[in-house]
This record gives sequence, structure tokens and C-alpha cells, in this order.
Amino acid sequence: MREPTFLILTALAAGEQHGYGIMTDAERISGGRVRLRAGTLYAALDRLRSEGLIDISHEVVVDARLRRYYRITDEGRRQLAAEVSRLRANAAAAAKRLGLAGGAL
Amino acid sequence: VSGNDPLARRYRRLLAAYPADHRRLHGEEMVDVLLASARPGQRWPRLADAADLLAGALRIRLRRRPDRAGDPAWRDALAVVSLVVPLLMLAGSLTVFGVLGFTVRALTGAPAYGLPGPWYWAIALAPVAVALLALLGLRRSVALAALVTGTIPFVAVFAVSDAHFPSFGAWLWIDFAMLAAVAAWLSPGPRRGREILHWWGTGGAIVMLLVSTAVVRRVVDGGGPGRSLPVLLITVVAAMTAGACLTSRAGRRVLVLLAIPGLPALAFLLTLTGMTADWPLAIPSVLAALYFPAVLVVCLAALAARARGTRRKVPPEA
Repeated sequence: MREPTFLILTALAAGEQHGYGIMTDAERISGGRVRLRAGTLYAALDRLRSEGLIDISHEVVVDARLRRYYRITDEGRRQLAAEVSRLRANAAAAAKRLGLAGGAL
Repeated sequence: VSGNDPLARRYRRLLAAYPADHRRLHGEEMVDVLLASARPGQRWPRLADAADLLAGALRIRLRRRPDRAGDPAWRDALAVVSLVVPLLMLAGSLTVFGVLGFTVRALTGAPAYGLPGPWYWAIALAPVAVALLALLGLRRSVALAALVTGTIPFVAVFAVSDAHFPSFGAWLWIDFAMLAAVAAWLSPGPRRGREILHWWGTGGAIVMLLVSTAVVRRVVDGGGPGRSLPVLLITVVAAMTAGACLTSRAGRRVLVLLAIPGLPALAFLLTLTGMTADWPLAIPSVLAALYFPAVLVVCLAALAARARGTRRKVPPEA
């Protein structure tokens, strides 16, 4: 799973969000390291929707502008959980070999 | 920053790179996100944002196939082309390249005079496999086999010095094979093409293509068309049908698709004709006999598809 995908799914795992919300949340999750731009974000949203990992939840009008909210699907949660397990196992293996404290994560 | 300021207008211009359905669904939403992340007083899109928008548009377009773009006219046109072009190549292989005659001579042990080399056999027989796969409606197999068929003459011409194949013929062969491969890959495939053509249309296409390519063979062997009535009939009927098919969305798209290999061939042949004083009418006639019958069949199919489409309400795609 590529990092933008991981960050978007993680952002939506806590609850429904609109595009700008996902963008700022992804930056926060990555500790300011990753800033998703609009082109990257919406290309990823388009792909994730076509793969059934996210869906459009609802739309609201704010200041005469349409705001669209996205939600993670059950399949999206399952794939995110699988990725978390994979990353956790990799991180544990790396920590163990480096002799770092907490190697058995 | 308001939605009508110069920055918003410039972002909308960049969004023109996206597919229309994506713009309809997400266009204003994306502009809002871009404006929300803009600096106060910003009037022009940042270079990084502009590049990211264009890259995003490219990613979305590359990921989509025409059948997901929701344009049934392109879908049907490509499906018909994915069936008819392999049939055209089959007919060309059997008649223009004399595969039938050579096969009989090879099987009966007749003198090997004029028997072609292995490259010739590979070039001439590969379309038989492609056409059979197309008639069976195997989309991916047709795409792959057509790709291989288009590669063989390319290798033969550039890697084998004594290939029994004229370079222009090789290029035309490559063009048609690539068109068949792309059409099969991007469309629902020859099975859909067969549905549009029906059994009588598919059979008619085979007969018509065999007849027209046989006429070409005779014209080539005879040194020119002279006052060949069959060539004249084929050309006139096909040109009239091609004109009629301009009224159909799918038909116009089929013409565009067939023009990809057809028009370069036409330009080349017309140039060549000017240099061949003793044979002024033969080459355009050869092209007409090869190209327009295919257009005729495909246009009839597209018209039939349109007629069926008006009778049956197609549900919108999700």
C-alpha cells in the first residue's frame, strides 16, 4: 500500500471527512512530513472509490458551496488493518535486529 | 478567496485536463480545496500544485478504459474494429499474400518455385490465429496475438535482410495489427463486436473482405485495374456507405479508427501513384478495395447498433 493511500484510509478510519479535512489530517498523521496536494488526493480518492475502499458518505452546502464527505468502507478497514499488521511486523523485525528497546512490538 | 477570482478561474483551466465526468463530480470540490490551501492574495496557481493537478489528471486518464468512461459509441466502435480488422487481415493473408496457393503447393509437394521463407509464413499465418480468436470472442487473446502479429513483420523487415515482404506492406500490416490489439484491449472486445454485427453481419464481412482482397490480388497480378468493374463497384458502394455512416456517432468513430492505418496508406500510395506513370490507377484502387469494404461493414454494424440502441433504453453506468 502506497503512503498516500495509507494516510487517506487512516484519516477516514476515525470518521467521515471532506477533501480539505483529509488533506490536513494526512499532514497531521505524518507529522507534517507528507502534504497531499489536490491532484494527488483526488486521483487517490478516485482510485480508492473504484476499488471499493472508500465511498461518498453525504454532501452538505456550506456558504453556498457543496462540501462532499467521504467514508471508509468495510473492505477499506480490512485492507488498512492488514497493512498495519504488515508494517508492525516489519518494524518489529527491524527493531529486533537493531537491538532497539521494544523490539517485540 | 472567492470562487470567481482569477486564481479560481486559473485552477478551473487546469482542471480541463481531467475527464469530463470527473470534473462534473469533483471539479468545484477540487477548486474549493485548492483555494482553501492558497496563500492570502495568491493570484496564480503554484507550479507544484499545477504539476500535481496535471499528473493527477494523467493518472486518472491512464487508469480508465473507454468502457469506464461511459461513452457507448466509442465502446461499440472499438468492439467492432476488434472483430473486423482481424477478419480483414485474415482475408489479406489468404488472398493478397497467396497463403492458400502456397499452402496447397507445399502440401502437394509441387515444385518449390516461389515458396516463401519462414518469415513470410509467420507473417501470413499469424492473422489466421488472430481472426479465429476474434471469432471466438476472446478479447485478451486477440489483443496479445495481434500484438505479436504486428511485431513479426517489424522484426522481419529490420532484422532479416532477405525478408519476403515489401516495406510498405509491412508497415500497413503493423498498423492494422496494432489497431486490432488496441481495439481489443480497450473495448469489451470482439464478442461485443459479433453481437453488434449479428451472425449475418459477421459472415457478410468475411465474404466481402475475401472478395475484395481477391480482387486486389487480381489487380496486382494483372499489373493494374484497367477498367475493372469489381473495383469500381466496391469503391462506389463503400464510399456511399461511409458517407451515410457519418450520421452515426459510433460510425464516425469507426471511420476515425480505421483512418489511423488507412490515411497514411492513402497518402503513401497516392505519392507512389504519381511516380508510376504506367500504372496510374492501380494503387489507389488497391487501397480502395482493401480499405473501404472494411469501412462499409463496420459502418453497417454501427448503424445497426444505433438502431438497436434507440429501441432499448440502456441504463446509465454506475
